Amino acid sequence: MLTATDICVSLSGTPVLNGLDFRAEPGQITAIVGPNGSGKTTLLRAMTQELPYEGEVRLGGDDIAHIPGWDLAARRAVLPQASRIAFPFTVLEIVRFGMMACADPPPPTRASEALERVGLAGFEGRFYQELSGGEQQRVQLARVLTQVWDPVGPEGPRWLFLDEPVSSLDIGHQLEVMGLMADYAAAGGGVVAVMHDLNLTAMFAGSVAMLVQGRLEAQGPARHVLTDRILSAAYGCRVQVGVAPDGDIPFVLPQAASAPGG
Amino acid sequence: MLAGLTVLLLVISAISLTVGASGANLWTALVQILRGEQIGLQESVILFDIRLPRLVMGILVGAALAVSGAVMQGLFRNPLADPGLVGVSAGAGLGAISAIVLGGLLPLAMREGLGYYTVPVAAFLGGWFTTILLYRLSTSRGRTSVAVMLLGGIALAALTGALSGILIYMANDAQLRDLTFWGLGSLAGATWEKVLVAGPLIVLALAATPFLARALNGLALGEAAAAHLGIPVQRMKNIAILTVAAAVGAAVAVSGGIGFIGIVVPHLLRLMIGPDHRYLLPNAALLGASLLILADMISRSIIAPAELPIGIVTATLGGPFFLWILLRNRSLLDL
Repeated sequence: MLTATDICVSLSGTPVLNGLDFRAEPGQITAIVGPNGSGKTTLLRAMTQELPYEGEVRLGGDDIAHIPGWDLAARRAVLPQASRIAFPFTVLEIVRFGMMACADPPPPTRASEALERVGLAGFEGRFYQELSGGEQQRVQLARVLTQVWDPVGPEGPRWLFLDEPVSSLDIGHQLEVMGLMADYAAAGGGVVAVMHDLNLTAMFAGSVAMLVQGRLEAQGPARHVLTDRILSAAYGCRVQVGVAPDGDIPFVLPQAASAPGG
Repeated sequence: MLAGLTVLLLVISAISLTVGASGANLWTALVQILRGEQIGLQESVILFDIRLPRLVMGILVGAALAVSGAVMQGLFRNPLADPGLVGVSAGAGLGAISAIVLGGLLPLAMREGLGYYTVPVAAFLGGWFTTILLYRLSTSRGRTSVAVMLLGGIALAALTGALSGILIYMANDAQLRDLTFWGLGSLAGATWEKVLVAGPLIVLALAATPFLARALNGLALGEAAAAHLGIPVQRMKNIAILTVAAAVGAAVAVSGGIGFIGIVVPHLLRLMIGPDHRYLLPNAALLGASLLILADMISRSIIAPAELPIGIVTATLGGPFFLWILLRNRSLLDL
């Protein structure tokens, strides 16, 4: 269980998050959605200690401020939004960096296995700098995966914190990566992801947190959060949510939305 | 690779011992020593009191410069960072010059306590202060700006250079003699005393690098990502800065400002064996030592019996090489 209580973050004097509460359970994907500038990434970065915050973040009951770095590294891995690397490392080298944090030495084939999971089998010897943005993103995801490979460790569920993991991917790889996240959660791990795509969120997330202007507007199952009323208010445009015929998964078509006043 | 570079270093070292202004047949002498035979007094003096300390100092200084370059590039996450280019050597030089010119003002107890170590310790402090200042200047919120680093380095080098100039004006004749070799850098005047003075600091710095390698690899992903891998980022950055300052300070204290080794060696090695710091750092020590001894041989023999300052040799070879690196890495310079 991940709980963030009364989180406040200011960036250069401007408050971005004001006393926000957020929670995520292992066993499902928890998506953080909201309009640009609503504080999604800031919340993720506060919960992973990349930004100084006020409030309390607990992972499996322990205050993360008091967990030593090496211990945290064994329990959670973090995927940044975009990563540029100055030196000509190969894909294999980058993925292997994830194993630095492993308590027990993983089998040598682990890195290749992770690359296969993200659809990059055979990319081991390529230079990271020469890959496309989407490929780089998936290499980083493979690195993050090797860090917390088993979704449940001796100390409890492990966590993936992902900042827009599918934003630069094509639809095929989006589904592949979302499926990978769902598998990780189904095996008992925790997954917290900042998402832009509401349809993928509705399809895969067990819990959706809607942020608006640094506050948590709503959190719950997709069909409770992704509604006409909440989305229209949050995004400042009229949104009509449909429901797929074979279930209760909501979907949003931009064609069915209209700009304010339109 | 490590084995190959060790052999290279041994071969270059052996050649270096026998090349020079003296006409004595030192190859024969070397062979005699290996066979356990006695050698003549003249050969013995040249080998053990002149060539050998110079060789050992060359190895120490070359290893120090190459490794501190590699560590600094890892710390700044940029292949263009080099202690000579961004003012760390200049800062260390200012420290050394201050110690020579103003050392008399220190309390007697301190002067006697430090003894021979006054100059290297002052150089270390100068290099340390400059490195910290530069890192603070160019890094905000965990992001290091290349533009600020390079331009800030130029500003720091100019400032420390100016302060050094003032001190040189204040120096008396005896001090001036001590100071002259700094301008261009040289291994001439190497003595066992100097080796003993610079050696411990450099060996200490080199001994720290195996502990840094993993952290520098992690830092290549960015500071936040390194922290998420469980690396104690702040502590490792402090150790890296101390290592650079100790190695550069000691090297500058005994040999002046020898440029470009710190940028050429790591870059060549990244092309050959890749950027993994666990292999890069020990290989950089070996290749740096070999290259500096080679440069020293050139400087001793090109206008023999006179000697060209080694800084001129490394700059002649390193300058164009640096331009080539710059052009290859144009994308990293986006301001």
